[in-house]
Amino acid sequence: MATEFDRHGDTHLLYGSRLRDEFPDFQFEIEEDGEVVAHGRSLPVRWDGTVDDLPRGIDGAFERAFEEGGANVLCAVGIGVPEALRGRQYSGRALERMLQVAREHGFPRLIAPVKPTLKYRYPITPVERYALWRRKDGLPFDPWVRTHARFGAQILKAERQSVRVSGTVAEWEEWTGMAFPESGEYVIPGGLATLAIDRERDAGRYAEPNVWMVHDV
Amino acid sequence: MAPAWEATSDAMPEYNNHGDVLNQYWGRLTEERAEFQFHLVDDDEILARARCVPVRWDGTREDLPAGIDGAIERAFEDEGANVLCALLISVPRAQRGRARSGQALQAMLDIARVHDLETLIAPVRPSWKERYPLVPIERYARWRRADGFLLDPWMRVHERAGGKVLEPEPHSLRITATVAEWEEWTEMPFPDSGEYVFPGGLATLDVDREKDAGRYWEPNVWMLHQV
Repeated sequence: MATEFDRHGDTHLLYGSRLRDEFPDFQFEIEEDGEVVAHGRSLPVRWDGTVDDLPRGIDGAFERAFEEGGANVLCAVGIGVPEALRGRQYSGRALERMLQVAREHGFPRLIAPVKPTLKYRYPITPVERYALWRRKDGLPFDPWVRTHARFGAQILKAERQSVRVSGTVAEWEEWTGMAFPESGEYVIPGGLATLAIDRERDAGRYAEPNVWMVHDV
Repeated sequence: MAPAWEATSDAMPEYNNHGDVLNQYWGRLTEERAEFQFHLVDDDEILARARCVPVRWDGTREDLPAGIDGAIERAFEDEGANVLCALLISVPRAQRGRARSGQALQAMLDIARVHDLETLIAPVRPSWKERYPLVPIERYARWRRADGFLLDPWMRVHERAGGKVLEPEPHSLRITATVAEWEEWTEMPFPDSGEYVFPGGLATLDVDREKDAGRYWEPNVWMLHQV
């Protein structure tokens, strides 16, 4: 589920437009009968293989890809399926393609800051706990985390501050269609965590939590 | 004609039908206080369903019942009823946005008048509080729009009908149930103990998996109408 505020990530605004120009080999669309049914965005980054050295979520992955050399793994930064085509396994196919892209470029691993699909229903649950939830069959509770797990991925760690989004109070009111009359923590539609409103500073701060997962390619 | 509760069954989230105290008395309203229960109808169609009951109140904030739970308890356990207390105005989804709730509120004020009750008190369930489940009701109840009217649409209907805010009540309606019951009502799993927001909830739900219990307190805002 993409929300309006998803388009306003601080780091994404900085680097998003450079993805296609500088890393065209790692962006793809999957088409079916001339229609785009999924897209994938990924970036090669340097990573020493330890949990401590993971980038700070998607923001950190963008920074590392554009500002540092020595890339040795592929990092997923987005897999999207048009709203009308959800629930038809296209996201799984896009993930499969991304693994193939990694393989073709000789990367031994794909790391993914996974945006958990159902986290928006649990905005006040710490992502560290949410990431541990499992179903009775032992697979992860979250559908998108589960898809990754089915492809063999392991959970590395929960990342609270994967995508930072800042705006004025008026911007946040426009993005969410809500009023924020006072400073404080708010639940927002589609938000994976709460929004912190500071009326004195005229600022709203939100950080999207993700779950770092790793695939052996 | 379908039963009235069925016609308005989509008006409230399921969990709201399971009040610990409210449900002990609710059935007695139509049996013992029938003249205060009504529906707004248009031919065969139910436009609104309403419940109210006379209670004793000395007119001070301190003497207000402990929310809607306290009000229904007082209605059946205490003598000397001298004011009318609103308990429910429920409008079917298909009838929303047509001022039905305001019409039902006027009808309730009429009923108070007919019974020589000079005051209507209402533990109002703020309709937009579900968008702000983390905000304390004491703060939410004060929010106003740029035009000076209350931010909350249902509180605003009361305000436009002459109602004044008396006091926010964070503990108005108590709902306690097993985790499985809450999961069924809200259609979401609660895998861990902790606080959760949930669809249609005006405040958070406190889940305790060890005790197999989910506890919820619905906040309301006491408002007052002179009849």
